[in-house]
Amino acid sequence: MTPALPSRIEAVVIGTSAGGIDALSVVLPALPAGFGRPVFVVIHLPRERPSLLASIFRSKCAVAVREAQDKDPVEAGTIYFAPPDYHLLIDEGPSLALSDDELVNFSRPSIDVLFESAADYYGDRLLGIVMTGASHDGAAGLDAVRRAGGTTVVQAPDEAQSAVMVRAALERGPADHVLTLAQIADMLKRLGGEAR
Amino acid sequence: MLVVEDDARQRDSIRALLGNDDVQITAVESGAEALAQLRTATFDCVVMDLTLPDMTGDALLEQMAEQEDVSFPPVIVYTGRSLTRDEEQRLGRFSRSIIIKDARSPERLLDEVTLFLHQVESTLPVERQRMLKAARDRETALEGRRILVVEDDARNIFALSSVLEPKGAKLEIARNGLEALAALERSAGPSGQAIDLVLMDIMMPEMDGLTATREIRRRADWKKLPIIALTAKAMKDDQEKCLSAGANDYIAKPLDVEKLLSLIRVWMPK
Amino acid sequence: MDAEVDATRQAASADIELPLLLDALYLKYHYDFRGYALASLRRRLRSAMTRFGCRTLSQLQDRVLHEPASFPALLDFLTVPVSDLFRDPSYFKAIRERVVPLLRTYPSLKIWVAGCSTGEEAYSLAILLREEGLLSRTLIYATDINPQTLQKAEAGVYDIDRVAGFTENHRRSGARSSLSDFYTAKYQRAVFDKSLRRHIVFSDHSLATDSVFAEVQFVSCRNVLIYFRRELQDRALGLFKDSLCRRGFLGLGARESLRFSTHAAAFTEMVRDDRLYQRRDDA
Repeated sequence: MTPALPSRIEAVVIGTSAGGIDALSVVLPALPAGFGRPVFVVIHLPRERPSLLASIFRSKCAVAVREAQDKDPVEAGTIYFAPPDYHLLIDEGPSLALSDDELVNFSRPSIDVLFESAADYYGDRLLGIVMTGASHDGAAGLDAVRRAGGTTVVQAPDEAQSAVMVRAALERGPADHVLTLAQIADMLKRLGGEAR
Repeated sequence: MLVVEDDARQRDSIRALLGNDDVQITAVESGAEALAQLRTATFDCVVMDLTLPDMTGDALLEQMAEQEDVSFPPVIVYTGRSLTRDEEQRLGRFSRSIIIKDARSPERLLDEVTLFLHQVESTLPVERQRMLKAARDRETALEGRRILVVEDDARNIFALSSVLEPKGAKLEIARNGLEALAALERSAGPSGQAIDLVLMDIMMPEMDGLTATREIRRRADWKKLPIIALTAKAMKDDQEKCLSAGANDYIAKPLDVEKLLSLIRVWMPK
Repeated sequence: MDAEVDATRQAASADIELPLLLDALYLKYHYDFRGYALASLRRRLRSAMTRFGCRTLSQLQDRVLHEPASFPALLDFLTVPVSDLFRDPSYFKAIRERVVPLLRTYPSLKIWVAGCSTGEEAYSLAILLREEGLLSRTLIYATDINPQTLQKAEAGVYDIDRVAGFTENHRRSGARSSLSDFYTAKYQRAVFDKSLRRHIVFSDHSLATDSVFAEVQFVSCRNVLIYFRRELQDRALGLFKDSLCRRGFLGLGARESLRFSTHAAAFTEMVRDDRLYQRRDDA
């Protein structure tokens, strides 16, 4: 049985690295057309390659999919990918903000940077999800979501292609829910079914 | 930094090449003096000629290595004579690098020393690394700075002083090129105060701005003095001429004072 | 539960403290960060608080007001981060292919690198122009508000570990020579050629408070505008527009654009993917 999420949730942040494209391919297509909330995604990729993520997922998803652009106003029902070699942050508005500040956890974009700024802006109205990955990025970010009163979800380590990231997140503090990808997908589908 | 060089002219030119706000240079002419300095003071680096009046560079290096009360900082050998393979090997044991004096060698010496001092700095704890001595207020960038205004038009002089003086800059006025050179001479004299920057009008009686600029650049001490030429807007080739005469930059008249103020900030030595 | 409540309360207080701190910095030192985008500013200040051992922004404000010696260190947290030589090689390739042929037609050139940080972009352009035979008639203004990074830029000394990346970038930018022709390496550092330096003036200039200072043919301002809110972005773009000659060129960072600017109409898009724009004749 997948857990129900608090209906106050206004936005979702997702962080992942190794194995992340497969994981996202299970989770993102589950979002129903009327999801009604923005979803911000950081996935670690080689820094210099132009990102094809948005075009890969556009055809698979029922909601709009974009690569984040600096100062774009955040639109509900849209998935935003952080562009390669820039951190993605949530600013007043809410709007998107990019930065080329130094690497965090050897990564740019960094999951921690996205999660911390989103926690600043959305507080307890944020859902943070950490999935498969081979780095410690995301642990501090998910902790910030938790401290701001948001809801935290971590992919079950046994199922993760690479469990380093999810273990690091769980070692940092307890998650509200530890779920399989199928359960995460189902949970988001149900969240999208609720009127906002 | 310690410079050991017997030729006074070369000593000065090395001092001019390497010295700046952050690098303090002690220059001596003999091996004995060098040893005396190394006994009493600490140096980050030594630049050494091999031909010294009282001993060879080799001997000096050996004494530095043997005498325990003498400190032995890294050495850069800077020499006018070519070395045999043997000599090079022997010197190599004691010195970081060897530079043969030549047309391009000042650049290399500067590079070596720059790199070396950076290494020294980066091994210091963060707190001791070269931070600015104190915080600086951006508004005070011109405070107490001396600007020589070479201009014969009273209205322009007035306009310039009314923007620059409220920022704390001290203005000296010269009406033409000759007066400008005289003012610079005075500023270089014993009771003079150094001039930080020159605003040079181009069209002037007696000696025009281009000639004055060329004259200023002939003096070694004034090679780095920033000169901003004030040119007539229409005269595009005036601007080329100013730069080839040695001005660092130009701004067209009629003067936009805000723009000039920003340009002065750009060129004002830090 | 207590921790959660505490966190919320702290976040709210920070919203009050932040503008106060920025006002204090402006009033005391005339450095104006009030138009900076908040999310990055918050993050940078958080790192500064850790470094200074301050629990709150108010403590940081107290420190920086009463201990002026701590201000330069704070400034390092707040200003443009370091870049790489030839970062985004395709940008420099586009400059070679599209901008340089037009720059050749000017008898003398002025170029403005706004927000130059530790100088990587200025040296990259100087090397490119040397390779294209234009450096001898060029003056590059490289400006920044942080005197310490300007000092580093002026020295032109970089960690040797970074040079391999620089070399690869340079090669991909359509290089006509080897990057090693332009530096001397030793003691784990590389120092760039003084003859490049002679064509660059590194100086203090603030896009938030200073004005235009020269007429230039090319402005390169990369990854600076992302840190500004829209109003300040507009001010900066206005300065660029006013200092560019007719048909002059503007280069921005890979993820920046003129989309939200009131000055957008003054420029035409020249190379879209590499963010190169040209000032309109009638602007």
